[in-house]
Amino acid sequence: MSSVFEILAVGLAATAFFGVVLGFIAFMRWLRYKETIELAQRGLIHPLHEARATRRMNRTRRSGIITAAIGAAMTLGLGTIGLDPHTPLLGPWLLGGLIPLSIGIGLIATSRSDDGGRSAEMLPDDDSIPPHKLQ
Amino acid sequence: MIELFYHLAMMLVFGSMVGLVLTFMLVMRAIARREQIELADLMTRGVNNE
Repeated sequence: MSSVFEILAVGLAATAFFGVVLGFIAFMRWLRYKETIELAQRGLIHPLHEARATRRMNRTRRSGIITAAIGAAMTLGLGTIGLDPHTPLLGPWLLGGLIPLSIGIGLIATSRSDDGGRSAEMLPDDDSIPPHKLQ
Repeated sequence: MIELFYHLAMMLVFGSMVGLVLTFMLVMRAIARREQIELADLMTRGVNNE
């Protein structure tokens, strides 16, 4: 019976810890939302809001490259299991590396295929000052 | 019987973790959507606190 309480205690403590961390991230996001709206009401653009749109595609590509590199490394590492003479060369253990590799390749392909349309759409407008603010 | 409670505890912990992550995603999405709606509303109406 004590193992049940141990699992409950450890699991709920971990849940509470992640709850606090995620709650803090959500609270920071909410503060940025209020800041963006307040600035927009005064005719200003939040610097993070403006820069984020142009950085989004680069971020997708970067995360794809990182994920694919980790996947390739894990595939190589897990591939050494197949070098053991008692095991087959290929096996389901390679999935641990092949899945992140495929996700990374998919992310890179997505960022490349969408590049033409989305980067033009996400570039900040030249006339970011609202018309009624122009003297 | 103890094994049943053991599995129930595991399910409870796993479920609370999943629920936490899903709630977080929902909250972040709701904030982003509300921000977009309010910004679009401001852009259509224009800023009138000169």
